[in-house]
Amino acid sequence: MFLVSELWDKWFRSPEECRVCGSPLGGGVFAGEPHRVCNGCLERLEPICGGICRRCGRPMRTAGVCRDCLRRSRRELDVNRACFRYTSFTRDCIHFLKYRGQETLARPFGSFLAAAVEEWKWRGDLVTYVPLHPEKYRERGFNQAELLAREMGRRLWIPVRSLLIRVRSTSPQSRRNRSERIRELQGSFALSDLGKRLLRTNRRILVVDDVYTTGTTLNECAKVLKDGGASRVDSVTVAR
Amino acid sequence: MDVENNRKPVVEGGCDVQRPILIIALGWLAGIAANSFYSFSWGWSAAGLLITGATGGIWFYLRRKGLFLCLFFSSLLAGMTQMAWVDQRNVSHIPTPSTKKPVFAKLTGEVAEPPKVDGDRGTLMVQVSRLHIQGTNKPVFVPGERVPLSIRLMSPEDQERLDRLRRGIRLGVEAELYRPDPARNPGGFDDRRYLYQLGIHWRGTVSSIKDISILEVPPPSWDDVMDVLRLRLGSTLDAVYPAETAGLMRGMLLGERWEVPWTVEADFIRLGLVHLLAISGLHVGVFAGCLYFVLTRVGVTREKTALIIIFALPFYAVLTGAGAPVIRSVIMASLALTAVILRRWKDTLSFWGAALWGMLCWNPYQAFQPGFQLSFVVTLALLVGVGPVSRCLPFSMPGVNQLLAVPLVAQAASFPLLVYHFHEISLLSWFLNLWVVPAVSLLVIPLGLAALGLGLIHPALGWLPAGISHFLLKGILFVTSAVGKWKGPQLHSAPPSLGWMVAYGAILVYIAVSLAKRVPRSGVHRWISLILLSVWILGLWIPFPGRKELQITFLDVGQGDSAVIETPSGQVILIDGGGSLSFGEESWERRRKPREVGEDVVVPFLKARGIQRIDWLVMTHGDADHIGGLKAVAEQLPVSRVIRNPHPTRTSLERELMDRLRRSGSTVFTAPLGIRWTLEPGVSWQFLHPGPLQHGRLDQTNNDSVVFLLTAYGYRVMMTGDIEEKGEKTMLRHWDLPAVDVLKVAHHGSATSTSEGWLDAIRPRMAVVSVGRNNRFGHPAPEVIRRLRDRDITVLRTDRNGAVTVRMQPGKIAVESMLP
Repeated sequence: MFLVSELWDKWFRSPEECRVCGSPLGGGVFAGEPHRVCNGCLERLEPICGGICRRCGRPMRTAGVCRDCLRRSRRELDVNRACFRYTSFTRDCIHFLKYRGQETLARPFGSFLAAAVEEWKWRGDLVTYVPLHPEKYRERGFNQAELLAREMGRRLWIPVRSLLIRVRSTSPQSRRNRSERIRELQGSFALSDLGKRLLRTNRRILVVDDVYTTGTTLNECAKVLKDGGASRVDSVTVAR
Repeated sequence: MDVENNRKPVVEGGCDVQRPILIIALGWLAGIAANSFYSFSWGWSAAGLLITGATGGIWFYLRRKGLFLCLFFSSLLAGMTQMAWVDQRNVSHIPTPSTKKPVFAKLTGEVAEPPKVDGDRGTLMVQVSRLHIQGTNKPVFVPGERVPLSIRLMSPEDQERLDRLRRGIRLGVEAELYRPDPARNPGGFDDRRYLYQLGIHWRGTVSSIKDISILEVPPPSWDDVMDVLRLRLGSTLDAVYPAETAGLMRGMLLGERWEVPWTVEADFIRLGLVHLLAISGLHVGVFAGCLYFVLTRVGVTREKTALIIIFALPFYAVLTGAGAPVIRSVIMASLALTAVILRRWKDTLSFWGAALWGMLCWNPYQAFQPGFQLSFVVTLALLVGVGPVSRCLPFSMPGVNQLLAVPLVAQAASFPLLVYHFHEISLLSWFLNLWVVPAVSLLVIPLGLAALGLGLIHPALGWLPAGISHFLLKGILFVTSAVGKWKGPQLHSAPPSLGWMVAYGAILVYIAVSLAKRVPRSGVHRWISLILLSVWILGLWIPFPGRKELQITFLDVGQGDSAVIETPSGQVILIDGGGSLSFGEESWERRRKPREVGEDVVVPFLKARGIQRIDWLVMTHGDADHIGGLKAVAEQLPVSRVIRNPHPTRTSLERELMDRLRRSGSTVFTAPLGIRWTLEPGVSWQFLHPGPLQHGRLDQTNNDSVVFLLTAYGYRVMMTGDIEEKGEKTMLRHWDLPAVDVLKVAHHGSATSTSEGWLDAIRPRMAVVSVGRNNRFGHPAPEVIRRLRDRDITVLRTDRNGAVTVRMQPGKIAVESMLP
């Protein structure tokens, strides 16, 4: 009996599993990638819908501009959009993607990003992502933002290019407050060779990252890109 | 310093093949299809298979990729090899002095299938092992070749005698053997091809049941048990159900299609419901579902229930005649139940592939059968398409969306195949399927199964479920017979080309992809794909513009006349509709589907040409062999205008026909003598006979046949009906006739027509004789043929050449016939 089961598994394919929780999906043969996450997980991820901040994509009761954005004076990043609220579950998912190396999660999240961008009707020329310092990259073996960006770009048929490099290694952001972050990050990004070559004027660029907390990282990236000649820089993140 | 850019993100899938069985099956199918286009000998294909398999295997071993392509192309070549091998061995072992003429022979063989009695005709499949051909000295031994025999039955006693034969009985039969006919009319049934794919190369006729003698009766075998059981079940249904629906239930539950009344079947075919009459996957599903429900309720474990059903399903398949859809669904259901036993996941797509592969290996000719194609295509479409389609439907309950999506997907997938094989589609089909299929599958069949099971114990027990399902069926039949009479929603179409169908399939895949949101801006793609689909479907009915060609088809309607003229702009003129003289029949003699030329030849031809309405119907005169088949035409197509001779209606047949035409709104004219009348630029016609007042005796109408001269792009065609010498003389007196290119020889080539003077006056280049094979009038008369030959006129005869088609273009005239 065991042998038969073994053979069975070799010749027949088991159904798709939820990319987040691993439970089997009934979704049919031709379900698209967004359907590869089960309904339960999708609910717990809390997709952002309804009113959002026009600038940073934060969920609000009514549409408008949020207080943080109003307070900020120097703003290089034009618009940010996000898929999910930054809840504990979403954070866990991103941690799985980021630290435990569960790269398969990049596919559904990439497609969620693509859906968000499509809904947003963003039009532009290039997609790029927030880079890792080479040292960290060697340590982790991949850059989660890059995985997300590539998956999203593949679905949207927009080219994904590595325009930025990280020139200075910074310690994790999550333990600092706002002003410390800004200070720490200043001057830590630069244009890559490819970026210098590709960035001519009037490029509209979309930057991909996993989380938008205060927007400092993305703002810094936007600054570098705009200095390099980009006309418009927007961003999209998994969580907000 | 672009480290990150060099690294490709991990993409799953890649080289490993996820559904190998599916790929093998599709490759195999492609191979069988390829072999019918480019046929190599099996040796070449096998060599190709070895090379491809070896190269692909080594490549995969070295590089770990390309397994997908290797599998696909290896199985493609394997399919080609198998098809070529099977084709090469599919030949007759019956030695023939001449394949054109019938052969008289004494056959010895076994009954291969239970006999069927249909009115005054019985059919019997015999596995011939020995035959003695008349005129040769020695009998020949044959390695078991099946020959279907058609037996003329003279009395109800003959019917009973034939019915007593069962499988395995050794017979001696004196029969006349002949080769099956290829299609004799465009769009007609190709009996030779159909039987060839069943491995049958000869048909036989037996003139009397006395020519059959029983040599040996073997002891009963398993096959007999099945036959007896089937008979028992059939008679139980007959006992439990009223006569109105008993035949229908026998067809639906036991697969005895021949028990279903023909009128019901015809309506179901027209409305796209015929899949309910053939035992299909649906029936197997309902059967297995009922069994599963009952057994699990009784307290059997799921695994044991699955095991019991796995053993019950083949039994059910054999009992119902083992049609392709049944076998497909039995294989798929058994695999799914095995998954239950093994506690594995079900992979229905691979199960589909396994069924396809297995059935093609068993008999590759199945790939060409409509039932097989429809079953597999629709199942695949449902597996793939119902999810994405139902998710896009707007209703809040997912169940409702699915219920709507199932017929929608099934219709979209079966459309090209239905049009290709049956040339007809009903606009109401989707709507009818939407409620008839659930009613039949969820109520009628389970109730019927219950009635059958209870009725086996005692017919009275089955009364309640039978009563309810009878009531439901009557309701369905009431609607289908009412709706089946409407001509409006029936669309006819010429069979689409292979390229059209491939593109149609590609558009469906495009729709599925955009519905599943697998491309960016799927909203836009959804609209584009749907528009593309509608344009593509409409393209079937929009004529190719700017093509100047007038086509005349002289149909082979046996002994009778029928010709169809299609003008370049799409006007249709039908001249007569053939017809056979009918004799008074007693009730036992009546066949389920009487042979009727209109229904069998004229209407199928019109449908296969995509003709939607008749603009001009010319009834040359009222003889049965000219207007008999028009009843079927008037029933199924609208007729705008009728042109006939000035005789009052003579027979009841003619009266009924004229009543029907008038009621459905046709305008009736008598032939407008003499006016030359332009139908459209380049095409005109002129009626030469008869005048409004000059008609002769009322019971002799041949000489008052409507005669007209059609002119298209300078070519002339003379259509003569049954005009005889007297009429010809009248015309010669009245008109100064020009030379014509094509003459329809009057009165099927009778000696009383087509006089020397007539031929000398109109000097045709070509003559078409519309005449039946071995007719009892001796038409065409040898002297007429001699008269034509003496003048170097090419003669084409529908009895020898099948249908004759004449195509006229500016500066060019071409003739072709169905048979060389």
